[in-house]
Amino acid sequence: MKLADITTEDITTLVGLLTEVQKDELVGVYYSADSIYNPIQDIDNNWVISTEEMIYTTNEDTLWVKDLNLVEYRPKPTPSPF
Amino acid sequence: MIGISIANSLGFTGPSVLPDASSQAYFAATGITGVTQQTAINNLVKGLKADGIWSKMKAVYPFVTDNRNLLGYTEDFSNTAWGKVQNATVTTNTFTAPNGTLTADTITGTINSTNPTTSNGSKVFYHSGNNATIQAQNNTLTGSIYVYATTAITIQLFMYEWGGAEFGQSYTLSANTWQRISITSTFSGGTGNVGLAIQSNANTLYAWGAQLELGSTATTYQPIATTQQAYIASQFKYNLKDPRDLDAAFRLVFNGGWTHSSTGATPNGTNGYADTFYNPSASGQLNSAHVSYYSRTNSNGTEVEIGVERPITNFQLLEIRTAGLTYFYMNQGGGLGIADANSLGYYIGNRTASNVVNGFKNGTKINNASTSSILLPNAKIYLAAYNQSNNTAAAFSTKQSAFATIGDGLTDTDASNLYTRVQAYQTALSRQV
Repeated sequence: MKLADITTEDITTLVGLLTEVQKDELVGVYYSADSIYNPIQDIDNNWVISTEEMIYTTNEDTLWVKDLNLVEYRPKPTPSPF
Repeated sequence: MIGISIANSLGFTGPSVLPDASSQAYFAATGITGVTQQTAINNLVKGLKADGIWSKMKAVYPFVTDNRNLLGYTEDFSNTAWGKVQNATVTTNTFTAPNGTLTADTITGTINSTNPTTSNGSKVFYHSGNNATIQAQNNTLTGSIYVYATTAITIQLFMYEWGGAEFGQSYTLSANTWQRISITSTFSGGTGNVGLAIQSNANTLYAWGAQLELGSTATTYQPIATTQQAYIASQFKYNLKDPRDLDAAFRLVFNGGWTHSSTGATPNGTNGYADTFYNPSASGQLNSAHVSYYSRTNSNGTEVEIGVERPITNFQLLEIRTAGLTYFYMNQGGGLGIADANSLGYYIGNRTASNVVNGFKNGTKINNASTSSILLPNAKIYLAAYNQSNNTAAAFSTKQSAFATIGDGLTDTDASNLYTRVQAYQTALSRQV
């Protein structure tokens, strides 16, 4: 599944799947003027970025993220800070 | 009248009150010209100064935008945001635009359809619904664009819901002059995004300055260089207290997924947060500190709205409603959660002494504790998450922020007055909760 296949409702449940190399290419890189990619790992330790980052990418060097395969986001549990 | 004439002599076209110098600097940085937004900011700043709160602020994030144009790449029809059909080709920046700059595009193609629809591909070019930012719903929308042809031609301007309703209007253009054509329609229902399209029987057409906006009037053209999101982010990032585009001024840099709109900045709860570049150890005081967050979202997950942890188990943070409890930790390692029925409103976490820490919701003190302070965290505060001791963002928030601050400790009167000012600000922007 790709970006072009999804609806507004899907945006919050799907993420773009990255390889380790792709993740390294995105760390610290701006996807638009004031916004930076933040790859994270899902519960299976796959590297992913959000669909918002994919949709709003304007950086000519990283437009390839718009073609990433989308998968359902399965987060790691969020422990309480305390 | 004196105030108005002085204001106007300064070139200020916004509120009909003398603008505050801090507001002026903010408007200059953000490019905000909307009267509603300028008035709201101006009144906020003047109110905070009158109340003696302004001097206690280190960072103020108003999350205000005057964005009206819902399209992207409004002067670059070569971008993939604009679909091209009928062999249309776009050559950018090849003709003098209405504003005198060489930013209009030349569009060539042979068009011969006399009964165009979205599906038959008869448009010269269109703003793809997939790249649009507003759904049809029941909205009244106005689309507009500047066009120029070297011979008198007939042109059609369409506004359509992607996969749904379509409205078209014909115009006869005079030769050799720029004309702004527009179309206004009200959609009935519809969840598809709205786009704008042009059909022309000219072999060559010049175009510039596309706009799609809510309402029934084509207002002054607002350029959107890339995307609407980037435009709004470029306004949201500024610290009202020091509106310089510098880390040292505590401007925001957004990380991960966010959605920006006129009602605020919404993190996605997955990986979205913003770096404030504010380090309490470098800029704050151990026993006089506050953080605040105006939440427009009701949720109940493990989410931190603003905070930092350094070293481990020493926090400065606001955690609004996790499992029904809200936490106000200000340079401390322990403390009780406060029962909270919803996560809507304006929250302030505040410390005024080594053994006085409290929390406010909508101007009411809901936490009054004597938890001792420990250390000033020596790392940057994050917004919509917290800067965890292992140097990563964690507990990502889903709560839309319409205002946030970092600063010195506030008296109870300050906290009450701050809420009153902030709520008036939100009301002026029609987004209060």
